[in-house]
Amino acid sequence: MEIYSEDMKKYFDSLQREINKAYEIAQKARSQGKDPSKEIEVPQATDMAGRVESLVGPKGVAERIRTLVKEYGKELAALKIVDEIIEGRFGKFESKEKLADQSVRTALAILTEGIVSAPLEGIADVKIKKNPDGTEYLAIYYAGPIRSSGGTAQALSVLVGDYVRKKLGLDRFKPTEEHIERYVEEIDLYHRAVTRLQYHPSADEVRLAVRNIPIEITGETTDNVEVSHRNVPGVETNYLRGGAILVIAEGVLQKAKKLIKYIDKMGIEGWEWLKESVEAKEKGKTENKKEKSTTNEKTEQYLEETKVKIKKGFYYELYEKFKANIAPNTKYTKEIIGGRPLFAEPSTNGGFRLRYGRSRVSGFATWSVNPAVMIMVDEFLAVGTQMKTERPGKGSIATPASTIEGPIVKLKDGSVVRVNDYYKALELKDQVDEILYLGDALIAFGDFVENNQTLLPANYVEEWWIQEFVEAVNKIYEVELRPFQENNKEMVEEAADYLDLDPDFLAKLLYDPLRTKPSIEEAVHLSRILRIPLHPYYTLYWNTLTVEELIRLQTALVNAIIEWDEYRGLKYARKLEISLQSLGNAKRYLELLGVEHKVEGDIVIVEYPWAAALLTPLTNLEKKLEFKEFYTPIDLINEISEIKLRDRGISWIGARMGRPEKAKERKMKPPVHVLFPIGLAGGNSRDIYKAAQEGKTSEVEIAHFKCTNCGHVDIFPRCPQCGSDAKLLYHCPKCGFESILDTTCPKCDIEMKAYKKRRINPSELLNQAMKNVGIYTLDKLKGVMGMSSAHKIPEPLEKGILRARNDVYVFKDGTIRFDATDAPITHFKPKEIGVSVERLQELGYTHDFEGKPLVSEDQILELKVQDIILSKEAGKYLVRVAKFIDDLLERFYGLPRFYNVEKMEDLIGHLVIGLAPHTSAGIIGRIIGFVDALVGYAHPYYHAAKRRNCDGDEDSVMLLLDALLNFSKYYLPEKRGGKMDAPLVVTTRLDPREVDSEVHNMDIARYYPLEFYNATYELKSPKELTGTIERVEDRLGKPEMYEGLKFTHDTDDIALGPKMSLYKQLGDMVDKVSRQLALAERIRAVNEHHVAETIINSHIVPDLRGNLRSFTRQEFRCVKCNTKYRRPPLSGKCTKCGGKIVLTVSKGAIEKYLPTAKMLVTKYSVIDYTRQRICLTEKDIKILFQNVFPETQRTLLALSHKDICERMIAKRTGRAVKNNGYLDELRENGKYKRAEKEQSTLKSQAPRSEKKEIKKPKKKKEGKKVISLEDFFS
Amino acid sequence: MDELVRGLISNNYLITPPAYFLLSEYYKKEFTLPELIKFAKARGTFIIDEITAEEFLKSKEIITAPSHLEKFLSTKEKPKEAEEVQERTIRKLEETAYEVSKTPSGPIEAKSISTDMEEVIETSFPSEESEVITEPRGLEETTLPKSVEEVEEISTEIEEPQEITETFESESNGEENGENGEIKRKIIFEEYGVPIVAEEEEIPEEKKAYSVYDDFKVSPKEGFEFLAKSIKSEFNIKFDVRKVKITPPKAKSGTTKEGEIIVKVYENYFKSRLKKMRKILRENPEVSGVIDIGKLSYINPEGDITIIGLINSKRETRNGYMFEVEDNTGIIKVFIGRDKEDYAKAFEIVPDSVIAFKGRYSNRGIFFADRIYLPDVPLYKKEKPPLEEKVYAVLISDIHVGSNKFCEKAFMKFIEWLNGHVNSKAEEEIVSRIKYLIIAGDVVDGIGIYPGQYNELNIPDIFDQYEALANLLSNVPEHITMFIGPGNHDAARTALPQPEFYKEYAKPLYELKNAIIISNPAVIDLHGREFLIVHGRGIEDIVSYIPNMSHHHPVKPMLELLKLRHVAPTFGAKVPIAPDSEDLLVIESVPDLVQMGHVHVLDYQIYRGVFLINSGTWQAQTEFQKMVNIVPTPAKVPIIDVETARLRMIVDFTKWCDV
Repeated sequence: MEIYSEDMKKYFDSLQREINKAYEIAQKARSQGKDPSKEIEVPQATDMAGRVESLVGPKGVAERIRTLVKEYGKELAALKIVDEIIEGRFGKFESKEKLADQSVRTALAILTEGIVSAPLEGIADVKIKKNPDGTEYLAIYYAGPIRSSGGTAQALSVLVGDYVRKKLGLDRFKPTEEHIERYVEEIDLYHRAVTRLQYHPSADEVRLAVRNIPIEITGETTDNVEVSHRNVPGVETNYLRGGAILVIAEGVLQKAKKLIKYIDKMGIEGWEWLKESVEAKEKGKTENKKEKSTTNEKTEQYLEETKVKIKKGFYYELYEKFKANIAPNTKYTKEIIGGRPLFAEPSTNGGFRLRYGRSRVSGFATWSVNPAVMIMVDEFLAVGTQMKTERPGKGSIATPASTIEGPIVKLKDGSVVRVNDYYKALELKDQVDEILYLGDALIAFGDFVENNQTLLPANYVEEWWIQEFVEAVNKIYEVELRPFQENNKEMVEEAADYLDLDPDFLAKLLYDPLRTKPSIEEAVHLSRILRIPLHPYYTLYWNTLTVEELIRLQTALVNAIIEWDEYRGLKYARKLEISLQSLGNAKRYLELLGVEHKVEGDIVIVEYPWAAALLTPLTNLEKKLEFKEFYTPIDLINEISEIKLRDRGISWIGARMGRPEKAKERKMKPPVHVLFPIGLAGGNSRDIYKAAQEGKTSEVEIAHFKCTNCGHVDIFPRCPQCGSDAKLLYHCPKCGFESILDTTCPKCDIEMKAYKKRRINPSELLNQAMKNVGIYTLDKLKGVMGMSSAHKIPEPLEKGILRARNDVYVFKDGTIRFDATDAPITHFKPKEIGVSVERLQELGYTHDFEGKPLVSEDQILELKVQDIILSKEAGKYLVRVAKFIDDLLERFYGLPRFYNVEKMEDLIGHLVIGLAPHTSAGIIGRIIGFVDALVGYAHPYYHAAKRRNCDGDEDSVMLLLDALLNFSKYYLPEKRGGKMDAPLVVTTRLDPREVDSEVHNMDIARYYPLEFYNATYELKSPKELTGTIERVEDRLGKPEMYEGLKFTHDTDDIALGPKMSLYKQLGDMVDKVSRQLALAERIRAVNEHHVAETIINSHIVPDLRGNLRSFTRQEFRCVKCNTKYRRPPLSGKCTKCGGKIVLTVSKGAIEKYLPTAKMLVTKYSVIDYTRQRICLTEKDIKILFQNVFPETQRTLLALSHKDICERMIAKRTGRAVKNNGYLDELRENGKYKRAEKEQSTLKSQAPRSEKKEIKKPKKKKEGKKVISLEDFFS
Repeated sequence: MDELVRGLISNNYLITPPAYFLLSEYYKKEFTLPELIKFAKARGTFIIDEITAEEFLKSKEIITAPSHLEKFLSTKEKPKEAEEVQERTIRKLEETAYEVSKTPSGPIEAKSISTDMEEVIETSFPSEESEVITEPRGLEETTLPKSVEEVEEISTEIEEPQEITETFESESNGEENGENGEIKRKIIFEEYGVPIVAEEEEIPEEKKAYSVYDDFKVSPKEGFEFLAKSIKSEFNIKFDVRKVKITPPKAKSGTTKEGEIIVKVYENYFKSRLKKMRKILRENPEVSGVIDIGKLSYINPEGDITIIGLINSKRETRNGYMFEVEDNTGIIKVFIGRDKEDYAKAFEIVPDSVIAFKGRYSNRGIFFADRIYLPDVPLYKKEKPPLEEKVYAVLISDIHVGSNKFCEKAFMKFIEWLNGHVNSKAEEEIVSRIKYLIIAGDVVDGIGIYPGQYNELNIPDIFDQYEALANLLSNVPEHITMFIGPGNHDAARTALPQPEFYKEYAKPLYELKNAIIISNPAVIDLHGREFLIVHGRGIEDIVSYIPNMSHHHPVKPMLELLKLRHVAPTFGAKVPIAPDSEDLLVIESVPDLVQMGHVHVLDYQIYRGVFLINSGTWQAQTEFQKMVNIVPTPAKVPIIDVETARLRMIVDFTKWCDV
């Protein structure tokens, strides 16, 4: 079956043509031999099979993988490939070990789609070792990067290892008791001393696993933490083996259930133990559950009994059910970082209002919010800012959607305004006194599926109302209308006739119900004749009030002066005026309802249409509301009012700010123009130019090449004397033997090295290089101190000169990168991305998403899967990169210029490689435009192809030709993990089936049907509705997977909103924290005291105490050569170079946050415990230096009675200063602590698991990581 | 005053008496303060009135039917006069209850109040709109002055009664029925600073929710003969960190940076250590012919020579151990082969300890050692003159007052025991001769010592922790002199050495009549016997660095420290070391007894005439210790015979340690 449409095929073909062009040029350049390799080092792969072959080999395996995957599916194919490798189908291997190694890696690569670097870097070695009884077994050595493959693949690699073992006829691994206990200790130690394991297995589980896993899971040292089970025979290290620990705990044990499925599927024997253990566990659980359910039943019965007697309001019952089933999740509020505000407390009224849907730029772990929200939260939120969220997932980024509701704010003059418009928000932002309602968060159904989050009751919104409207019209008048599309004109006219509506308006309402709103009188009218709930726009937050408040409000309103009007026999209020006095407390009720009103003098005025929105549900004050038990205000209203209401504010979601958005060129630290070693000669900035100017020479380790023709030995891959090819010259570090053929010394039998120490003359080298490229002026040219690659081959200096000239910087692999926060986009408008209609047509965009021909800049187009929309920042940088590439082609390789760009628009249509950290496979993308936001917009598939979702991750793009010309494996650091984040292979064609499966859950419907909204009231699991709302998964394998995706909510502009989060513009911590708290005070859904307390406890105190602790245990270093010392040398100077010795933790670092902390404990009502902690820490810092700076000591102690700590001490030690009336004093006098302590103990005790979370020992600073006795005995 | 009320006030919320009585019985059992506050906040009220309270309880499903509302509907009109009176009584009642009653109000009282309350509530129903407007005025006028009066009675601080009146009037104008709750609310709402302060002032520092043991009083058992009373005390603080004057290095110029000075200070610290240790090592007759490392290369000595230096690093090789050793003149690599007699000593060497090596210098720049000399203590000790009378010292440490695992009962039993409440004749003899009590640090659990400590504290307040400890120790008979030093949990310098407790936080300790505060470390001379008192964090580093050491037998690592003659030799590991120019952690003179604590396990041993003891703890196993399988030995008290500096007996109070 063809999986592309004609159009898609054209698209892919055009991409391929461009790719080929680039490869052709790069090949020409490379073949000149000026680079470490004459070949382009970024092979192309069209699919997973291709990537696997490129990444791990063996040669020719791709074809077989394609065939086998088609026939057997991915997992089985992996095993079949193992068979074939072992059978020798892909050539002979020198040993069984190598054979095993190759099989395991290839199989793991298949299982991980050939994207992540785990098969390369996560497996350090595969060995065949001997059991004590002399039998042979297989051992896999895991390394840290195995993490990147995810738990399931980790577990599968073990399964594959076992399969290989059997295939090779090896015996099983027979661990000794010592061995087993070593694992038990290691896993526990890792969990405590390094990082928390996602799954922390019990000792017995570990024992069971180690005893039964037929291969040895071992590995190299990953963390400098020693174990107490030392020198276990066969275990090479006495330190933690992080890779192995992960594979056992988070792989085999955590994913046991999944693994069993594969065991069955792959038919691997000898794993019954795992099944049994899982079954035993399940049993335990179900028994528990049964017990629970019986008790539940009991209570239910009890409830039912009582239910019989009591009639409860519909919403009252719904709230009850909601509360019983879905508890607020406070996890994200446990940590609040200074300067990153809390936007809303968990599930708190007034926080983010849940709105189901997916905008053009949301879904896939991204929320859309109204851009006005971003303004109202003081621009802490910008397009692309990460939020840590309560649910459905843990994080998301924010993108704008102008068709959803913005905040409702109370101004300083007491007026209340709904702010749905970005520009209105800008106008009002300085007048805001309180943010009553934060506004909508548009969250995709797909995210609920992905996280298996029970659906929260939907809040009443326009997209729901229109469907109820349509349904009612269909039922009552038998006219078939359809929402969200253009309807048959006659039908619309007929319906309009029945409904007394203007047909044009009705058509518009149906087509775009989010932007089109009926007037209040029409809304009431429709609600009355169709018996549908009042339009959500005019529905107020009735249930924010209590019933009593509602009644009091109605009572108070009787005193109002009301202007009445009529519409089709319907009485409605045009205007309402009431004095503040007669309103009294009810003024607050009006605010809480979210009804717009003005305050003029002492008169509150509610104008059209809000007067009617307020009074209609209150029956225009004609019927008095009577209190009823078990009724919410809406229930009460619905009982007496003809116009029914649905609750628009049931489900609220909390969030805080995470990382700020980012779009910035990647610079190493310090920044580098060229990967060329300069040693210490270049000074701190490693400036080669400076070294050359000063005439310094430098001794560096550098690769040597020997000319194949004249035998000249130099540092260039092409002979500078005769221009012939030169080859790497290896030499033996022991006996000095040199060879261009052998890599092992024939005499000493040790590995030879291609690099040697050599004195270089920067001035000479630079002059030559500058001459070569015809550039004679230079400001600076930053190199590196030394190289960390295996052969230490440097880049040609010429590249650096041209980079410096164009002001671009190189990454460790030779490429130039631009990093940006990932953001999803499925549809765009030409005007948003600054591209003309004509240019887009050239790029293949001929029709808009509804199939109409593209003629206008305002039409919405569906994004092609490999097209990307970059930040303007990226555009500016890439223009310089393109100029560099052109210079390079012209001046260094002597080839014609390729890009010829002057402005960023010229980059449109050019190709880039997108590449994410921890992966080794890039994907080709095409630039089609730029936006003024600090994100990298691309199709969700494109992000998924890089194994990213959009919850705040970031990754990089590079120009395709840059990668082809300048990337070389020879530059990559030799250390573990060095191959990560390097374009070892590039995918040319995106296949949605081969991308991260998370994106398969993204919903692609135009709207969510009524059935969905009804289901949310039943708190259904999203899985029950997967058939109801179309997701990517439903289209996989069909041409439709590429095209015809839909979204539910439009936005005016995908870049509307602040360009940069306020967080990035604030200076020091005091500043950040005060702004954050000022916001907290303003948001109704946030308790600022809680925020202050949490900032102190989760950010400031750990920082203060941590720095204090590390100060007194710090390392010292040499300013000049950076040698580290555990303690200062007695000579007072660096013993290596005589340089000055300096601290690594300064006194300032300890004191840094103290002013912030003092400010917080002074201004906010934190518990005494926290206040005392801060005061003690201050004292600790002062006293630490008592013998170093006695003078400062004295001045520091010059006490001020205003100081919070001094006041506290004075009070507590009886030297009370009695000046009353200060709230501070009240709070500090320590009499409330018990109550408050109770409050927090109870709080933390409720969810038991969370309490554990708190106890987690903080991540230790670098250095020795051994469990401290401090922890033991505290 | 009740916790709930206090909690609310501290959050700027107020509660009306009826609401209080409604809520108080469920507080902490059924709901928490934050929940209530949240609820009130959501309703936009600062006052928890009875309606709010009932609503809240209803929302919590604590009560199902808001009873007051039923009454609303049935009994609408009530004479206003009565209502007013009721209200006042309630307020009075409430206040007296708050002030006087320490115990929760008795059932009878509660009942009577609740009936009152109901009646009061009834009046607060908003009846028909039209009538309402005028009526509250009357009510308000009569009520207002009264409430002000009351406030005045309580507090002398109120200065602006007029303002209160004003606000009140404007506020309640034309409102629905003024329910009494609302009236009070307004006063406080507008000027809440004043009345609250007043209330605070009114109520003296009263009972805390936790005990600081102020009611714990023990007096010496009547008729018990304390022989120690007649023994002349003979003690002398031989070494205390506070007594040493440390001069900071002078800044070369006014612009010398802080950092440079600190580096210099640490450099001097190690130089001072080397100097002190060399002196100790040279006392060993076998350590002779010492040559500076820097001279080795040009003197090119033949035959055996000795070098003394700080250990920079230690590395195990195939054939032995390779050290890097540094003295003031240079650095050298020192190798000791597996075959050497002293090879085993290499295990005992930790970084930054000072060691002497005897051996040969090779031209390749390596020193091949045959012998290793740790500073150590002399093989034999001089006999000290006997004492005329037996006198005993009690050694304890790691009391951890404030921790919820503090064995308070056991500790109280111990204090009673010191007061002569003994079980046997043998004990009687001992108790009567106890003259000294030494406490080696971690006397309280402290605050903020480890993450999540708050939840494991009974007393989450550093002042109160010391208060509590002092209250306990105030019962130690006056003739017993106490020596109290700080540990890592105490309010004291976090880095070693620790000069003393912070006076402003541990004031009650300083006020104890028979207590002497000592530093960590400190040396006390008791009747001519030297007691080295150290809290013992150095044990941590030894355990992690030297093989076969464990927390379960702390005396072994303690011995290693003694052999290295240093309290915490390694820099940059777990023990924080303060920037001081002089190393005060060197064990300069050989003690008769070494006491440490910190690891919570009682353990002891004699080494070359020195008695080493770890004095255990008074804290039962904590959650964390349980997790990592550490078993402390709480409430075991070693009694030391001062004359011999040996253990006389161990008194076990473990059975009272049942937390």
